[in-house]
Amino acid sequence: MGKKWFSRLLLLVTAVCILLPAALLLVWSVTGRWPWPRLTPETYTLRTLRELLFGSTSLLRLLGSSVALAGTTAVLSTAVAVLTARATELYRFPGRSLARFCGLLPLLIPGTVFAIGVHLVFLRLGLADTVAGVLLVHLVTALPYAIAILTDVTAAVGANLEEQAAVLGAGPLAAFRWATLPRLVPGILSSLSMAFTLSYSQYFSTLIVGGGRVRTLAMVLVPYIQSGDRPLASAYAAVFTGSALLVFALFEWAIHRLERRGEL
Amino acid sequence: MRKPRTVFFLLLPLAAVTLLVLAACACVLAQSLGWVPAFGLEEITFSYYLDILRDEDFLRSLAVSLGVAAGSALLAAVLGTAVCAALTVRGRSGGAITYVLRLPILVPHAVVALFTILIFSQTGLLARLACALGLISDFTQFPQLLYTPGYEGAVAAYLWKEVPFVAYFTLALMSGVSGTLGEAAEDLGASPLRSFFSVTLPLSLPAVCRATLIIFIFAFGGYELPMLLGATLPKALPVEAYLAYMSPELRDRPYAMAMYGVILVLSVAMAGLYALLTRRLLRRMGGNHG
Amino acid sequence: MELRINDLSVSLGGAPILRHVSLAVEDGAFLALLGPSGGGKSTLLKAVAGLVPLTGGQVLLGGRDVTALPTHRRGAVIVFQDLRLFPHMTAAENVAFPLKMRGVDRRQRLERAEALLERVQLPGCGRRRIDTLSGGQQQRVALARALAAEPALLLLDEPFSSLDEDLREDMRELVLSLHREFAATTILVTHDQREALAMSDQVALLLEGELIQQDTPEAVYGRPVSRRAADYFGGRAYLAGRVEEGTFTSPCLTCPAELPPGRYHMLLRPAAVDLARPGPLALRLTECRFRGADTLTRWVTADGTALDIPLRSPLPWPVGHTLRCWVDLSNAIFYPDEEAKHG
Repeated sequence: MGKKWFSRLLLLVTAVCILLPAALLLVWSVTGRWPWPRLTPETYTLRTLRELLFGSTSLLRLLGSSVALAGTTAVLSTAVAVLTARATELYRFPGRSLARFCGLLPLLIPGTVFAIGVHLVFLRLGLADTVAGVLLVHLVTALPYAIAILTDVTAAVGANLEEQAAVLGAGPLAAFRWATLPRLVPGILSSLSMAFTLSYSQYFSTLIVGGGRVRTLAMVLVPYIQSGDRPLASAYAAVFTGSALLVFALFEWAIHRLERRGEL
Repeated sequence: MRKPRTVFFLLLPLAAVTLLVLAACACVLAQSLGWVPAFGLEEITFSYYLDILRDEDFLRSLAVSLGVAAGSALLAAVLGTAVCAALTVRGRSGGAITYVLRLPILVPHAVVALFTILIFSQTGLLARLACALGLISDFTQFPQLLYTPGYEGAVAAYLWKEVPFVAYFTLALMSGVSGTLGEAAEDLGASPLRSFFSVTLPLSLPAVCRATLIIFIFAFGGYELPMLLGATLPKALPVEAYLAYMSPELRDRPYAMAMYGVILVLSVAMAGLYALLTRRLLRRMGGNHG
Repeated sequence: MELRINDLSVSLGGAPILRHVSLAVEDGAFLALLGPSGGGKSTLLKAVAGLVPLTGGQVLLGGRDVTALPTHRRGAVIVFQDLRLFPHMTAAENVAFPLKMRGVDRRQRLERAEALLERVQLPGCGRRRIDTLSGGQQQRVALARALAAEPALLLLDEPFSSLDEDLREDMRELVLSLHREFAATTILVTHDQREALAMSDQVALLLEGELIQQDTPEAVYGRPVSRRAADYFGGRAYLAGRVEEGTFTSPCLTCPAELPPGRYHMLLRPAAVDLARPGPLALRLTECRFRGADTLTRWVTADGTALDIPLRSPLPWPVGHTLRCWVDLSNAIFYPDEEAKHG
């Protein structure tokens, strides 16, 4: 109808709004001096890179612990989501809608309130200020998203192929392994990617439950933003975002490869 | 054969998680009602709630947080739906733009706060552009957008993250509806615009509403953005509550918890209201399009 | 293996699907389970395989009670209507799947799979992906896979319904030849009467969750045990009348009947009517429809009962012609009038 130019323009503006700050971040992270009112930096520097690599906080160790924490969260929450989705989608039982509701419950509780409350619980259980405690909180935060993704996929896959495997002599575990699991893989990858991102960007819950002892990239970044050292804050933010993107891209690549091989 | 025993084992982890969530909420509520045995407080009372509800600072914080949450949720809903509609009109799914849209979902809130500072502060990119265009000559002439009582910076940051979220969250439903029923409406003589507003949009509304609710609850209880971008006074409710929680004066603890209690109760009430409204709305529309 | 079902009942979501079904199939026999869609045929297969919980009754395979046995230990293999081939495996991997579950090593099971694929006339298709196969080919892969499981009992759930008519005939022949070769006790679920009657040793008629009749195809068609069964076989023409002192009297016909007195319906089958031979039954030709090989004619009796008879074209009579013809009453079947009984 010739009106498509408007929607094209809207998408273009959206894309610019999204990408411009990201580009700005990269520029700022190598900026030396950028006095008012210049539109471009006056000098560039690798100071931030030195600081990142050899500064007071070891970036590699920080990256390692953040990735390990987010990775574990992703695996655990996806595993729980697979089980939950299986129960709610493939079985009929009283309380099925209650179970569905429980899966989404953490979405309805504000993260700050949950973090404070769970810290009180963990103080009694001896989980406060521990990595395990932080892991559990991240798990709860990521779980509703993982469940939402896997519920859809599980419902779409259904129980038909598993029934077929069973009549052909496969026990319950073998039937799941050979008939259902391969078809859940794309959903599992999406869920892993989503849960990883959520855990990776957690700040407040890590602060409260980790008590400052569990250090992640998010924990280090926030003080730099508050300090006003824009180049260094930008450099940390760039590493933070870049590594999250890299992991996301890896999962996307894996999903696409599977799609191309026609395993869906 | 589907055995009930299996369901029990499958749901055990979820049950544990649910128990943890409920226990966390119960702890917050118990302390907000004055039950903190560790600090020698064992009297159940509503007085902490009544006290903070009479406190001007608290009421201003509450107003700020409700404003930020409602403002960013509603704006994100409108803009996000528009972006989603634009994607649907484009006709083909996938492509670079959907990846760009997913980027903000991946970026942590703290980084978004930094973006906002780099762009909207008085020495930020916008101010420099205004100067280059001759609109202002000194950065003090550029309007304060950050650290203001109006929380414009926080809302802008939320929008950067949540507009794409709404668009992405709604895309599957809307492109499905538009491809089938929207086409049918156009076939029956509706203009594309009318077909969008009378068929596609109403049927996509459940997804939009759900996304809006999620954003509202998130922004209402969110800490990082108002902490990094908000004013000293009034503080957003989660920031105010956290300060009270960290207070060395142990007697302040129930007040902090009462503030968290208010955040919790209002969020759950919001979700309940949403459930009630959508159920009624869906029944009136005579369908189960949810 | 011999199958025996005793008093089996199944409810799904509170609604009864199968009611007190009892059925026996001898070892190596071929039974067609016939009935309209929604009558519970597929559910009966699933119950035998252990895929749906029973509300009552027993399933015995080879004399052994398997009611409590999980599906994968029963050896009752279903070929589902939607085939349910594993889309992420090749044709050969699909066929080899039951052997893999039994721990047969990879080389051996793929060899066996190729041999079975050859047997179902799909030589060299082992490496093909499932979605590259035609409907008929997929059907054959599903059959080969079921045979690879060496089933104690082979359950075929409407296996031909998705195929074109010419392919269907090929598949029927293939299934029968496989049945002769492997001698697996087989149940074929179908709603196609001709298919059921032509292929099987025994036919079981399942209507609305109840097993109405189980017998040879000839007996099930020739002597339906009830009006419902006769209705199902298209016996739409009945003459209403009364039996008194061993004689059935209706407005159109009178004949001897060794039955207790009461109101009855006599089943009037087209095959029993001989239009060429003069007799007691008055019929008026009301309609004829040319169908190519024959013409379908509709005749109406004096009391308004309509009877459809296919006849060779061209017809010697015009529409509206009335004639009196002979009826073969040696196998006449009478059903008591249910309404009169209840009313």
